[in-house]
Amino acid sequence: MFKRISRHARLFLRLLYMHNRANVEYRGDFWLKILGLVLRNVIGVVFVYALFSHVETLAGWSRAEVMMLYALAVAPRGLLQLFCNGAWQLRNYIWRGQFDQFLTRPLSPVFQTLTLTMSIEGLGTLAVGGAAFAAGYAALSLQWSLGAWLYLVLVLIGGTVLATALDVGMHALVFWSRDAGQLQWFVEQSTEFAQYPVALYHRALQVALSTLLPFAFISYYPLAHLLDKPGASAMLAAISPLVGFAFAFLMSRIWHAGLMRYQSAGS
Amino acid sequence: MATTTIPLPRRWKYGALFRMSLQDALAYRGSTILSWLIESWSVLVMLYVWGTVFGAGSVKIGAFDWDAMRTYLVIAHALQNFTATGVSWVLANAIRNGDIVTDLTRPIDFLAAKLVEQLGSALLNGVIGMVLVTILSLLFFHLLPPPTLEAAVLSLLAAVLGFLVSFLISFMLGLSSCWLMNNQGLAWIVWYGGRLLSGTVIPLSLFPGWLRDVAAYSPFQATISTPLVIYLGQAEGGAAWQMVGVQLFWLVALFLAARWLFPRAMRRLEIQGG
Repeated sequence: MFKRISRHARLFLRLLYMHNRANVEYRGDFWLKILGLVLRNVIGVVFVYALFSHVETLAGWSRAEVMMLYALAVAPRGLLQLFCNGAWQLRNYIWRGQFDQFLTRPLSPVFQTLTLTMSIEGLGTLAVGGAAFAAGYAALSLQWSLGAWLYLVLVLIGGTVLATALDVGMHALVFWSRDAGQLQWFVEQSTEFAQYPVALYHRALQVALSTLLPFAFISYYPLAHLLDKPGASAMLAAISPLVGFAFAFLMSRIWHAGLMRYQSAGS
Repeated sequence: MATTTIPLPRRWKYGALFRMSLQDALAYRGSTILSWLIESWSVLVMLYVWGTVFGAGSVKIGAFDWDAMRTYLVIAHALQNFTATGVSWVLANAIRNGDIVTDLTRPIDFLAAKLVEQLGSALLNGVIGMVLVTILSLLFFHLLPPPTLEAAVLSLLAAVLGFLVSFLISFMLGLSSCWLMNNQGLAWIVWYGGRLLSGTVIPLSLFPGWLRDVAAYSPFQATISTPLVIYLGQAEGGAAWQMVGVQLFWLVALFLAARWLFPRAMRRLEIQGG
């Protein structure tokens, strides 16, 4: 068991090195991609900035607080892009019958799928998230304890695990239907709800964001607790980092069921 | 075989291309409607945020009250689907895999042919957008109609001009593949920069001053903002016509730029293998 894990870890680092060497090979393309993803996320920051030049608070949250919320909502996607952005390729691999090779190697197929792509331009997403978070932290003159920072790291890991699990689980639906991509797109779009205080939304949406599409746990519940917002729940904040792992288990069931159904494209 | 080529008048060639693009688009109508609805999902986030800001009272931000803002956000989404074309992907792929050679050998104008090929899906997106916006409006959103007949007609014209401007930008983006190994990064920059500067995310009049100036000098405002500002009656009479004039300026400028760029891109083109 330990040997198996350490082999995957070693391979992961090698793949990371390899992908990133390939990524920076064409320097012009590389910088354009980074700039593109910076721009993508700057849109959200500009929106918050413009919004708060017309209002004081949004559902009781100030500009600085919403900036931090935004940062936490986008950071997991940045980490996913950086380390395990391969799930979207699953569809093509299955169509072309190339998925077979994953089953013949003595490596976990889900590991091989996830590491198909590692996009260094995820740094663009993380840069904007980091800047928005730092700006909000400074504006509020916060002084968090070491414990709070460690908790934040756990929340980020949990959020990344959640994003990755849903990415794999939803893309794995192509084992059943060629057109399953739409559902993945729907789930990915739902992350945007986590960029603003969840209290804004209709009650039914709040429930959805805490259960089926649990994106309230990557940003809103943890941050509401850390910022000591009125009505923040310590219990919801405490389970936030765990939700990602619970979903990883659920999605692995879908993945394995899909794997059982897999029939090669044939030739 | 002399019988295989039927000499058709020039315009028929484009007519055939248009019919093909329409059939293509119709074949995917189900998934087009589905994508439209899925993308509306994130428009809902914006609706909630603005809805909270405007509250129940008669708050006004800039030229917008809640009715105007709701109308803006929903129609901006529909316009974005209408004006966005896939031509940059089509070109990038054709350049990468060499299929562009077939296009170049055809005795028709390349730019015109690519435009006609996009008209089918644009028409379908336009119709789907109008129908879905009308249904959603009647059921939930109760959007504002244009204040005058002139605003209605002029905003439709502005939407068509916006489509053409958007097409030309996308066309040139596609040609950039002749210089870049991978134009994904540039595509993101144009796409997301365009999203911001076209007023899709926030109406341009609510931007901070400096950004409003940047947007005022960009061609993107012609795609989403102009038709919507006219639709809402925020620019009327002379001011509205002036905005259409700016669209025409960008249309001509981008057309000339595309005409200038095309032969240069083709000179850079390298087709591998054979």
